Amino acid sequence: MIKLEKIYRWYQTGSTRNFVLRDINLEIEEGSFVSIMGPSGSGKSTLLNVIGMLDQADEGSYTFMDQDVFRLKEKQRVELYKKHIGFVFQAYHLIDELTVFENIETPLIYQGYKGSERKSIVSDMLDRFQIVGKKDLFPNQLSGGQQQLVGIARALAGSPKLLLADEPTGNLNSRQGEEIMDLFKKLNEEDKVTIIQVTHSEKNATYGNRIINLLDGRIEQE
Amino acid sequence: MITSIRSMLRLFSRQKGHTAILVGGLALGIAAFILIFQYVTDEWQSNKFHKNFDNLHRLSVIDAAGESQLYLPPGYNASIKNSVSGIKTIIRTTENLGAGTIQYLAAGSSESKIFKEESIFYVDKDYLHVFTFPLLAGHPDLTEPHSVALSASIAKKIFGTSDPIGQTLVIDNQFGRHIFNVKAVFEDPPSNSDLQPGVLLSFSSLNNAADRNENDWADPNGTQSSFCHYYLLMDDTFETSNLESSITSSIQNFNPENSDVNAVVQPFSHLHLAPSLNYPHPTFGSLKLVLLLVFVALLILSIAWINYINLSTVQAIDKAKGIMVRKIMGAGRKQLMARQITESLMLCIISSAIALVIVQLLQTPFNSFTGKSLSIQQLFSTPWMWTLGILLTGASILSGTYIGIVLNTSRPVQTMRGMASKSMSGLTLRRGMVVFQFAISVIFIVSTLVLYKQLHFMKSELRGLNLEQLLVIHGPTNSGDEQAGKNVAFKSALGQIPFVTAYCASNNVPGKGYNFGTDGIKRLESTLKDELKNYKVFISDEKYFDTYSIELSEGKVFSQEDTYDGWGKSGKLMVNESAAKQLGYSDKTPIAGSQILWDGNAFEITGVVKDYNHLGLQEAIEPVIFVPSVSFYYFTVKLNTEELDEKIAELKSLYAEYYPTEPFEFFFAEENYDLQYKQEQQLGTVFITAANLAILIACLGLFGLVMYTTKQRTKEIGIRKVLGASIMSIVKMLSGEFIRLVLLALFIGLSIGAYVMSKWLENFEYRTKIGWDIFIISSFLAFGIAILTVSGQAIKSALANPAKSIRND
Ligand SMILES: Nc1ncnc2c1ncn2[C@@H]1O[C@H](COP(=O)(O)OP(=O)(O)OP(=O)(O)O)[C@@H](O)[C@H]1O
Ligand SMILES: [Mg+2]
Repeated sequence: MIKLEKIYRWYQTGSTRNFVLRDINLEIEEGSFVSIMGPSGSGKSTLLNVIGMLDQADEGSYTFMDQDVFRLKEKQRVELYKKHIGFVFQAYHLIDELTVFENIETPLIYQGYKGSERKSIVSDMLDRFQIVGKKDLFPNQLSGGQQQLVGIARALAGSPKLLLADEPTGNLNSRQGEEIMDLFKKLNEEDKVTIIQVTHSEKNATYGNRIINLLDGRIEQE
Repeated sequence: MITSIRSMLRLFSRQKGHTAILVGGLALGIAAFILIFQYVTDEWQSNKFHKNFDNLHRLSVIDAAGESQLYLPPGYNASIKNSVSGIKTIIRTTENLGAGTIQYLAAGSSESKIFKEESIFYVDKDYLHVFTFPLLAGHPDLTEPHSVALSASIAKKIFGTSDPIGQTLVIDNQFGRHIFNVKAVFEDPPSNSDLQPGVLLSFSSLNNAADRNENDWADPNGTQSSFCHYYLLMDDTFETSNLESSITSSIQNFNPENSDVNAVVQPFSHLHLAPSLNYPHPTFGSLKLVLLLVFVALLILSIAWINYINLSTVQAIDKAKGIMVRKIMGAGRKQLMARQITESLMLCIISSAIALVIVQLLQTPFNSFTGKSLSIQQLFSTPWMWTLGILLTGASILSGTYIGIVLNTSRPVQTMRGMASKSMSGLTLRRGMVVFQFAISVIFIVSTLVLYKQLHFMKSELRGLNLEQLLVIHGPTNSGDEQAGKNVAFKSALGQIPFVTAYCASNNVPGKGYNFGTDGIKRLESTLKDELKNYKVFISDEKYFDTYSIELSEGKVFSQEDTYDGWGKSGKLMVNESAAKQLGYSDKTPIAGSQILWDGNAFEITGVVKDYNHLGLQEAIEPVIFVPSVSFYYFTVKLNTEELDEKIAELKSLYAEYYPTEPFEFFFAEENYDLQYKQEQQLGTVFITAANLAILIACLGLFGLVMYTTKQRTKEIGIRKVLGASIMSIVKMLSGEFIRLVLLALFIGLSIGAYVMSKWLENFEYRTKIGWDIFIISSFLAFGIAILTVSGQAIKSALANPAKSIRND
């Protein structure tokens, strides 16, 4: 599903290049559950953003579902990721002025679903994550764990093939974290969603079936 | 769409303070703009209600001296009509020539209503055919002698609800006491009509010498005295290109003295506002003023708009996170752009709605200030309103697009990390905008201060006379020879009243004008062509100079006997210093006692009056000849203003004793004099309002900006405080940048303001200096207000509990 070849990413400061990703070669099969680990600043988020097409590499090639991502036009790229990829963030990134219901609905609007379809999908999601009672609340009226549930529900609303999660449990306590991890495992096994998560926790990493270690922008070992 | 509007509304309410400032500032700006816009469109619409507007012209002449003369002799009428083709109708009007009293004796009632009326015109018979003031009753022809047409409000004042047509009125004016038949009632002229007829009398009423009360100069066929305005109604198909030259030759052929006189024909479209700034002919309105107002309106609107863009881009940083999340969710550029534009349009609509409410609230005071009857409905009916609508819509689309582009070009990952991209924070642009707004505010402040300083200067620097405690009583309307004795008796009765400390009679008063202008005067021994020079003539008794505290530089005032005799018989007069100079007297030669020739008659100069400001300080002092006469137009008394009501009552009863059929009317000399500064006063009010608005809006902008930056730096401030920063140092850190900006604006504003106002002051013959006081006060005002705005916010956030602000992410 994903094939990264010779990916380099750097930031130019003055005349020197600071490499954040160096020579990344990586293949990820559909249906796998990958955990990316590594020390702070090693480039995990950057890698995830490149995979999620929010960021572009400076060198290398990236094939996603048989498409050469870096060769696509911006519009086609947006089409591609909005159809197939869901994002979950450490800081939730819910839209403050929208209710829980509307937050989950947002990606569906952009994917062109009709109003009635949207309503039934969002209701399903609310049911599934047991947050029906919260649907009219605003993000700042929810606990961190609840906000992350909404974030995940939003990411899954458009039934993506790939779920990208950058430290999804980073702001949560361990019990909430476990719940989210159980959820991911279930999604991966039952709904066949491919998951790539960044995590600092060894324990969370074991939920997946593959661990990639980054050190200083290089994949170290598997 | 509905969801997105709903979410926008929520966004607005989340950023309540900000949105309020944004909308409030814009609404104020739009309201000011609409008010001025109303005024200006009304000015441009002036006179257009006349059905014959396109074919109407005013005829005037430029005399041998190159001066514009709006008054022509009535007798040119026939020869112009006969020798110039294309003229359908000539209308002669004599504005206020018939001023006097109107008396109505209701049938079956012994009581009569009587009141004074200024706007009584003698006009040609087709006046109401040519000027289409809608007729409410009767027939528009004013053919027969002693016909009268009344405006609706005057008809109502006289007749109440009963039918005026066919009734008779007694009108008493300089042409005697005559009975007039009411033929027509017309609608009151709209406020944007330059012709404001109240009472129209048929010109033919003056045909018989017996009906003119010995005022034979007013013969409708006379060719010597110029007292008529001429209006021409042209044929539809007539080409006006040769009109001026053919009328010129007609006038020149009429009288060989007219060889240097040239006709000027102004179409009605040039009558109120000139077609260009250097238009040489007189107009009723002032194009300069209208353009100035348009400029002020645009400035205020631009300040408000800049505020809006400024604050909404700042707000965009706040919104950026939400927008970036949407972008990651797959929102396209177009969708984001559409959202920004919708948001912008929504704010604009809300602001415009509030602006309309503000306009509605201010309409009544604004109308009484401008003397117009403006309304929003009226504005909506003009195409101008659409221009305004398009302007506003265009501007909000533009600002929405601008913000959209700023947001679209910033990258989501960075933005979500809290790193606003350079273009989004747009610091340089924002600084520029703040400087621009404040500079304009400072210009307004400087202008206002200079304007008021000049006004104060003109009121306090009045030279050579004293108007304090002078009360002026209107004399009787009509005074034949048989009444002269009565006038003298009344005057001396005034002198008997204990509280009257000085008194006099004159035929005009300072601030209103002179009696007439003349040439044909020269020194006995002069061989030069001095008789071409112009002098003003002022008619008064001998007590005038004492009563108004006017001093002489030489000689003495003419005597009481001279007053009784009048200037013709006594052969005495006085001149002011300017007149003496113009007559060619040098400083050393004694003037008093010397003789001059006036139209061939010799006069003795009894004294020289020190130059004093007979008219407002806009004008230079003119050469004036003071001539003695019993005088009766105005009686001036000097009195202590304590217990004024009783004193006025006493004067009134005395007046009634002598003039039982005349209404008692009076004014204070000083108030009347200050009426000459009405335009400056109005301009002052306009500027003070504009300055306040500009400052208010600019401060709103500054306030919003500071509010935002301090909010953004809440965490930083908290950390600094935990690390031991003092409150003072934090206030300094937060205000420093803005203060620098305001200083720069101050410098720019003061320079431009001072330059513009020094140009404006050149309009005045006697003028104040701009001086350091203006600079200091403006700086103090602008800077003080800015500091208050900035530091209030800064202090508030500096005082905030650091533990709290660090926790709140
Ligand atoms: N805009 C930028 N300009 C310069 N350097 C950047 C920029 N963004 C990220 N970096 C650098 O890239 C490197 C990798 O960052 P990244 O966020 O991928 O690390 P990470 O592994 O996710 O760390 P963490 O575990 O702390 O989240 C860091 O050293 C960071 O300083
Ligand atoms: Mg990271």
